[in-house]
Amino acid sequence: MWVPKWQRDRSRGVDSPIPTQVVSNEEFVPRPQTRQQRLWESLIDDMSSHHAKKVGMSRRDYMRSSMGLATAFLASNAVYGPYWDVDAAEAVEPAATEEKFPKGEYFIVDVQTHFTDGVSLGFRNHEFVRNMGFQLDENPDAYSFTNFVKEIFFDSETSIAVISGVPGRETNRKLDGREVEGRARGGGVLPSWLMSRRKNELNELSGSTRAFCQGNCAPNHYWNRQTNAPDFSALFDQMEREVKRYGIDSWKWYCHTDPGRSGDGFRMDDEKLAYPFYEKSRELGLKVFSVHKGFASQSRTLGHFAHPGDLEKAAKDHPDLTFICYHSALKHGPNEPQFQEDGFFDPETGDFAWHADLMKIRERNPDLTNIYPEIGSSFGLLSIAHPEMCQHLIGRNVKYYGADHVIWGTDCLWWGSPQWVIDAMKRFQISDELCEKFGYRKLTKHDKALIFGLNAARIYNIDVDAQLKTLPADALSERKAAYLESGGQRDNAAAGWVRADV
Amino acid sequence: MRADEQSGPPANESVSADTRQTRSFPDYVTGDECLFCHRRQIGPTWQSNPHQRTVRRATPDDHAVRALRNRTGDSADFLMGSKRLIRFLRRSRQYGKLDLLTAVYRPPGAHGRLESVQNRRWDSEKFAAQCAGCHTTAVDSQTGAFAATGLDCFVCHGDVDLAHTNDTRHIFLSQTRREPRPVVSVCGQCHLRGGKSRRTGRPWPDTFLPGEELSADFEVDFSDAAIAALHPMDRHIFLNARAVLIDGDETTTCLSCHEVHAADSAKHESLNDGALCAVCHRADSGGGDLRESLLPDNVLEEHSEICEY
Repeated sequence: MWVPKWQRDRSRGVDSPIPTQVVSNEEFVPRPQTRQQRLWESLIDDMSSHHAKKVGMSRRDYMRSSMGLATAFLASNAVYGPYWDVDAAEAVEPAATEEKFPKGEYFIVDVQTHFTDGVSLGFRNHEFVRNMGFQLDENPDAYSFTNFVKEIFFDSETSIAVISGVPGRETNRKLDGREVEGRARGGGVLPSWLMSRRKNELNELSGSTRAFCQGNCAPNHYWNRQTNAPDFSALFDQMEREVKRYGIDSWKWYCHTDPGRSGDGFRMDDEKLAYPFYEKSRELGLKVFSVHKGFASQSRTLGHFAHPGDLEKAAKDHPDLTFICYHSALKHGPNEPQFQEDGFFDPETGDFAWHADLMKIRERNPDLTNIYPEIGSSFGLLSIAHPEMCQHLIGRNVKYYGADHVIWGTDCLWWGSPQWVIDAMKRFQISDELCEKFGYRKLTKHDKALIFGLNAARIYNIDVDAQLKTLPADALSERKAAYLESGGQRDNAAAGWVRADV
Repeated sequence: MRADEQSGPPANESVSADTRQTRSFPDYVTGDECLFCHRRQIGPTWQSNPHQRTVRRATPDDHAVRALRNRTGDSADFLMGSKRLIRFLRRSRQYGKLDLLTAVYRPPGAHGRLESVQNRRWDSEKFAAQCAGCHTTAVDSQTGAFAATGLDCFVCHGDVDLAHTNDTRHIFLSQTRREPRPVVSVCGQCHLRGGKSRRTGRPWPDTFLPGEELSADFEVDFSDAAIAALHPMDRHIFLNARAVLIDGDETTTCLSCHEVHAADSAKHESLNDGALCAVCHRADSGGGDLRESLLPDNVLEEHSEICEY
């Protein structure tokens, strides 16, 4: 029998602030709790009862405090291994957490944030979001720009957000040749014109630079079907529009999509298709290329174009351009069946598809410094679902590309406010065992500062010192203060369905 | 259009197809854009779905590809067919066209054999004339060029508006929009094998869009004699389509039995339709036993003149 998670937790006296088993969204039969999950939950129960009594709080109130969260991380370390940076003192002293992880300690630039043009996408009630006990609204308002500002800026420590593109292509001209404007341009759930418009609105409202935006235009978006070749005239028209009129700060490519119906995806090292785009972009003064790699099930027939292999030649041939490899090329997420298949992850080598191929590119080319692995969704998903792989993800990114090349992204507000991912990174650590076996190193606070924002700041020409002075006093910070003062907070109620017999 | 600018749910009537003669397919949203959101429900399994694999990429480890390479040195970009016959395809220089190799591979698996190897050639016309309509998406009636290999979401769900995110009645064949005529018409555009377009003469309807009347352009022989002559696998489709499209019976459609995304027909065991069941099952066996003509050996003998196997 299925029961709501809260009902089972209440009947069993469990009140974990982080997931201790897979929770269903009603579309599949919940999996039984594993032995480790049962042990973890049992430890949380025992430890929290003990600690709550010690600090004189009800158990329920205790679990909602920073001490309760620390207890859950301590219990997790005891079961899975020491991958969370948490001290025993944090379970009984709130000040210990505040001292260790002061708010505002890091300058955070999130290069992968999204909202939509008034449509809901079904991401916010995703199984793993529910796993974390989040009960997020799943309606157009929840995906709106208004909620974007709330969740990205008010509910999290994010300083600057890059509004990141999604697959889609704008219609530039009507059949009579006239240019079209605004919503008539189409472009999918988050078109370039809308990203640009909202970026400008937010920066005007703030009186500072809080937002950057990307442009969706890509080499195969405009196609001449008579010649079966790119329509470079239309393509360059759109590129000029996105750079000059929209003021985009980076391109966002999905090589495994074909919204222009060219008949195929494209490779970044395609000299006839992609290289003219690089040349034109260079001429327009834009040298940052963000590209989705991995999560290959997002494509119907073109998933192989999401492999990162084409980055190598493209980056070597264009050393003056910057290539940000989104998702660090994780081929499948933990909720996809292929993730569970034998061979997807090799614990002996730390390899997993296609991240291993991205690492090999740098291994083969130690002087290739213009590729940057970004960790949006990959880090958040793996930190919850597969901590060991998560350590390999970060450990290897740092080992091969350097802490000064790993880029912070979250894919929020698809997953609600990014604060949970920020908290996870703050506490994230690589175990002694993996460091010794695979040559990784412990992450320092400086490493995390680089990953959280200093690396992206370099790429987007952000003057961090100036921003650290400006942002705390801007209009957005004022509004955030008022919001927090009036009791505003993140949504964090448990939801989902589990099996009653486990 | 923004979802909140929609005036209301769509009308349920079928769309008139009277003005189709001069039109082309709309600039529809491609499946890769759909999968950005539907990655979780559809993405992981769609790669192996038969509707997705009507034309599939040729991989080096495929038995047919290996046999072709080893015996002839030729290579192919795509494959078509699986159980009975596998054909080799390569990209044409023209937009939306594939060349078809006259040599074929007859399965099963590694024990299959390459046939018609002598005097083999790449035929640049045949795929566009005979196969494209049901193995690719949005075939242009005038040029024969398709927009995408395999069946894109558009083929069954139509040109989907963003408003569907708030109201799934904007999508044909969604859980909330399964009127019998459109359902059977969508499936029938390919599965009523032997039908013919009045306008183009091709074995698929001309510029058909979900929601339209299939019969506006597609001519199908629904006579008793014609249906009786069909292989049972085809016969049950014709019988059901005739019941819905001609007789107005709305009790059973293809979706009553077939879960297309899941590639599963387990639901058909709960169908309460004696006549349709009897096409394949022996009536005297309580519905359990298959008729002799459908026993395994005979199933393999199923053939189609249209598809040349």
